[in-house]
Amino acid sequence: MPLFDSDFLNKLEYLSLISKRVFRGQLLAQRRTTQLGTGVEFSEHRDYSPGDDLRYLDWNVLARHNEVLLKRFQEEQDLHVYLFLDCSRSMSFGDPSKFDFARQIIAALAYVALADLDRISICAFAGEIVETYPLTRGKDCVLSMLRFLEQLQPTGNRTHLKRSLDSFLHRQERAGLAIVVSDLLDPDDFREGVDRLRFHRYDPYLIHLYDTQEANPQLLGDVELVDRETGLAKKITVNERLLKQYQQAFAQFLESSREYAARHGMGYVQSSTEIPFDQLILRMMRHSGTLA
Amino acid sequence: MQFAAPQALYWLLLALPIMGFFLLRQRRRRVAVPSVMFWEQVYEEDRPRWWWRRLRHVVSLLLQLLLLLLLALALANPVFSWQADQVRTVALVIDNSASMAATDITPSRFAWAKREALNLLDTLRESDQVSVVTTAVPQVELGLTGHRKTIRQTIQELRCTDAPGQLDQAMVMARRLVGGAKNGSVLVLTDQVVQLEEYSEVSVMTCGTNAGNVAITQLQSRRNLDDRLGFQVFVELSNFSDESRKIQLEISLGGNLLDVVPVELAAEEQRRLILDYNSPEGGELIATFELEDALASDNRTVAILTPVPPQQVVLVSPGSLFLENVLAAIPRIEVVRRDDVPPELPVSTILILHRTDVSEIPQGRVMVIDPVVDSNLWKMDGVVADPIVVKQVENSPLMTHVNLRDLTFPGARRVRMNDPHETLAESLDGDPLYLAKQTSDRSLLVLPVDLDRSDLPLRTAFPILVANAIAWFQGVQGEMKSTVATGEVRTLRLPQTANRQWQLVRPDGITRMLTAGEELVVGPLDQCGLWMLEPQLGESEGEVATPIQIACNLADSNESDVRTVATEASPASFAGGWGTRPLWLYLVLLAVLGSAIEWYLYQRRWVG
Repeated sequence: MPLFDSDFLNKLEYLSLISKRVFRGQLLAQRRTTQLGTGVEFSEHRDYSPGDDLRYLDWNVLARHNEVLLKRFQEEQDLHVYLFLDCSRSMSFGDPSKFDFARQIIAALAYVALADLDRISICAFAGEIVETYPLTRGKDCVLSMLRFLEQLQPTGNRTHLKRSLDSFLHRQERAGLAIVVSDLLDPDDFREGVDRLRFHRYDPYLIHLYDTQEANPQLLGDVELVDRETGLAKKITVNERLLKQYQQAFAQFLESSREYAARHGMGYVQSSTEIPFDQLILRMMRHSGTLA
Repeated sequence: MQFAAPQALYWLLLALPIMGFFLLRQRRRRVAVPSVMFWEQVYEEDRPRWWWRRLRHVVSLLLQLLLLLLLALALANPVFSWQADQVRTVALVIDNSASMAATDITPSRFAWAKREALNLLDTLRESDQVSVVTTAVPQVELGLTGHRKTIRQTIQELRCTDAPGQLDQAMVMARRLVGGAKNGSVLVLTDQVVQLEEYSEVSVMTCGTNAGNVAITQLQSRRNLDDRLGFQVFVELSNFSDESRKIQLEISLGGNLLDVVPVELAAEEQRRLILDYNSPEGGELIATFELEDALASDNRTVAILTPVPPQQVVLVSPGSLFLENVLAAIPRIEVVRRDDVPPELPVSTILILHRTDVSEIPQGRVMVIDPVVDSNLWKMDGVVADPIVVKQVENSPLMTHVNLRDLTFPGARRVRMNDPHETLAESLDGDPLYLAKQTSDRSLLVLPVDLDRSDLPLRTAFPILVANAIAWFQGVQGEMKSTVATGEVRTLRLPQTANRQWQLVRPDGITRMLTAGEELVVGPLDQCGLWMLEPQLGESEGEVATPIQIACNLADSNESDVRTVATEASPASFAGGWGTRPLWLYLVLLAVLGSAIEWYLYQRRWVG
């Protein structure tokens, strides 16, 4: 069964319409930058300084009050949306797998952004940047974008978000919205990588995925746990007490991730793979005030 | 060590699958997880006990093998050789005679005996053999067995009887039971004094106190010899105590109170009473008194009084007011007057021929008054010349309280009997004026007196004479049905019926079917009261048979005298020590303990 079938594409179109009618200008639509420039929307006056362009002189004020003031306009810029997709092996867990679910989310967000004439770039990462879909604009790039996503595989080594994002930041791309779709299972702590985005004036947005079997594993007895990312095996006897401790540890991880995002005012959504991807997108749109 | 069921050791083969399952379980299930970092967080906390985690699987396997070993050994029922050597054979002789029902110890002496027997049972070893013997009707209630449940049930179901104890016979039985055994012993639980000089293997536990008891030790009744309506009651009262007692002896017949006799008995006194009463009725005669003494079963006794049966009399007479009135005045007489002699008469019917011309006198019971013609038994020879009674027989029951001397019978006829006869009264010339003849098939009285011309009917002797004649014909005076003492066996001659099935009904209502021929042996009767033997007749047979009643009383001074001296606790030689429980029981307990440990390990392993 193809990942992006016609039903999926219909849902993308529906999400695009919804975003235009309701959330236009709030989630991924054109952004007014704080940079003043040659826009058409008046922003403020300032005193004239010699050398300023006389075309922006407010002649009406000069005529009425004999004051030389210069009109300033807000410049409109198109938004750069960077989509980071976790391709580590841990994303292959679950049914449906977290990786498939993440690709659908990435595709949906990219579609909406392209439909709103924003620029998108997709970076697949694991221990480092694995593959990149370059900055693209226009809806005619949708098919190539989908093909890019389809050919990705969750075969990456151990997740290292900091190293991956450092590699991205070294390209000195223009700052924008950075959406990270991952299970955040980074042994070296995913926060360091996200902090790097914040420090470089990106607007990070975390989509934290997990599987219900991951949160509440049905394991008892003598088992050999195999880490999907590292291949490391752990012989362990799981009893109810140990299982409960694991669930508490995982819940604490989810909660600390949410607190981290809230503390730094970044967007954050947490979801299991059980709900449909479009519902997750709509939920993000409803809370999109945090992104605008 | 020996095994009672060595084939149970085959269960040890189950160790093979247990080992197999253990080895299979050692191969852990591989489970892929996204990351082990959270598992490492919680798992590291238990790392200090890692060595124990590894070991407890082995410990669990060893425990399971140990459980299997214990259970297989328990099923094999091991017995140590010293246990086999010390197997004891015990015969319990439990006295269930009448005196054991005494309530001087709570609730009764018999309950004490059963309780002590059960206590003793608890102290015996598992391999010991026990037999139970009772004394009232000496019999082996349970042969030698080691099955505790059966022994316990047998002891619990024992009942105290009203029969006297036969302790010697019971002990002989018990000694015979344990005679061939290596460690045989007899324990007697009784309230009697037992002489043990010649019985080394016998131990006795005695219960009871010096409680006093008043008893009816005998009761009999019978019809009077000289008065068919009267009866006598013989009562023997005994006071088995050191102080005098006052009682109110109540006599009742057929549920109706006849008499209340106050009696004061001195200490150790035995008094016999003969009480006279008058009643044609019969039935259950009860003598009882109310007194709270040690034994209740001898405060009430029962006897059977035979009723006076109704007598059929056929009077063939032209009419005599005196004769008819006299017959009507006699109790239990049913008179039928006829003008002619009936062709057939029952044997028990009395025929009175008064001034009839019957020449053929029938066989059976016949009284002829004023005959007028010759017959097959006599010839008429005119009239008596001088019909005054000068001589009469004194010692005949026919003439009891009858005085005919100097009485004149005008018109008395002279009768010459063909065969020998007895002249009861005769005239001056020696002519018989009242004569009797009795053979095997005939009872005949002849009174050749004209009642209309004689003044005999006006004399008091006349109704006495007629009553004596009726009683002479009946010939059943002084009938008695003696009571039976408990413990006796009675042989009954049964009426001939088509069905030989009889139902024996005990005084407590319990019934038992019996098959009998002409005779039936009933007993030993072990309960006071009225025993009933009822014929079981078929519906279509239409037979009528009367139930047979047997009155049974204790009637035993030894049993009624319940005074005795109790001994102390059970002999120490019967205590079984620590080995009273079988070895398999300890093995099972160990298995339960092992299961608890394995359960704990399971909880540690799976629940945490």
